Amino acid sequence: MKITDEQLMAYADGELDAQARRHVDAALASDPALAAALEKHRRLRRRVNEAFDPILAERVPDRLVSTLKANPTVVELATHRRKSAQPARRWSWPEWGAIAASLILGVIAGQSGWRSASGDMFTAHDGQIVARAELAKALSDRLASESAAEGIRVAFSFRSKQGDYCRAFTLGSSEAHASLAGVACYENEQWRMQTLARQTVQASSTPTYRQAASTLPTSILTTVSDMMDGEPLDVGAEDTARTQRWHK
Amino acid sequence: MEETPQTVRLDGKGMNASLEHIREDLIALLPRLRRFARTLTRNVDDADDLVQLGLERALAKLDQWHTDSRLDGWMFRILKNAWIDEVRSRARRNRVLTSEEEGEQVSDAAHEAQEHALSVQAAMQRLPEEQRLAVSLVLVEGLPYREAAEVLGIPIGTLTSRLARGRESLQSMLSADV
Repeated sequence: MKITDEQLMAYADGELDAQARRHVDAALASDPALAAALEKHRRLRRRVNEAFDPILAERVPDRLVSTLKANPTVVELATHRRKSAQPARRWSWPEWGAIAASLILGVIAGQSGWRSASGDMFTAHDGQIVARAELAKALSDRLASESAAEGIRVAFSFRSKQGDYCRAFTLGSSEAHASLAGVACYENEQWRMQTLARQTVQASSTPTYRQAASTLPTSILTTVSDMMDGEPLDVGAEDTARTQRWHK
Repeated sequence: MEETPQTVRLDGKGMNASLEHIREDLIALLPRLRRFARTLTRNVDDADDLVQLGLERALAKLDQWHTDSRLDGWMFRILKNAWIDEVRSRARRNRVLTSEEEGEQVSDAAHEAQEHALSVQAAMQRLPEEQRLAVSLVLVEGLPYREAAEVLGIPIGTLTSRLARGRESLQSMLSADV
């Protein structure tokens, strides 16, 4: 029986079952041309492997490994704002996938200690991370000048270019020996996270604007300066915003 | 491959442990991902950009990967899609230039192949997209036909015919000393 080229190819690739293999074996034994064709397939495969396998031994660039290293220090939610931080690319990639809210929550949960007496302070809603429990309460109720409680400190407030009220905050955890810093904006009756960063704890006693700002990571301040319309709110403006429940 | 239900939960330590696990597996896969990318684009930096984009996309949708499927196949599929997106958007950008340049390239290739054998890498670059993917997944990456067909989202019969054609073209481009 004639062996087709596809059969021979499958034979060379180890894709045939035992019976089909025996069939080809028998044909090979009596057909030198077929055996030569098989050898050609094998030689091609060897050449292809010789050409590409050395790549396996190359040193993997650090940037690829660090893309995968756990706990990115900064996770930007508003992807369209990530303009300055990225190194120039050779190709203009058509899209830059947003980091899934679930993954970010995973990172936060992994830190342990971002829970308050009444449960997790972050939750996912419509693909966004929103504040809940004590964090939501502090963002709604507390002025930046008021002292911290539950490890939550609001650093300052400002209005975004869209007119929303936004607040930069830090969230300490003695358990995790680290704190989270973030920016949340009040949209649709929720405090939505715009960016979050993990930072090491810094002792700070005087919650003045300067002091507060100095403990925020540069990445957060960069995001704020991209988002902010005008200057941070002063105490009076902040109090007014609170009175009108942070509605634009 | 259809989109699968979430396996990564939004709370609890189990999820974090499995995320860690996947990250480690992905790190172990990096050499192969780089090799695969280099069969798609010969330029080392472009290939690594492609891998990086693939990793970012993978991290963004880890919840779509289910642990009982092969991580390598899933990643190859993501890289392939990223590459095709890029090739298409570049083709759009360069549309005006394409006809002239392509004509030149084809005659170049024919000329070069006659003069002397092309390097395997150069020959791979001359293969049509779909043949190159089939050759790369089966010959370079050693995936079984079934897995390769799944990565490409095509029936096995389509895979084998692309593979056969790809082999034949490679063979003839390398023919001077094969």
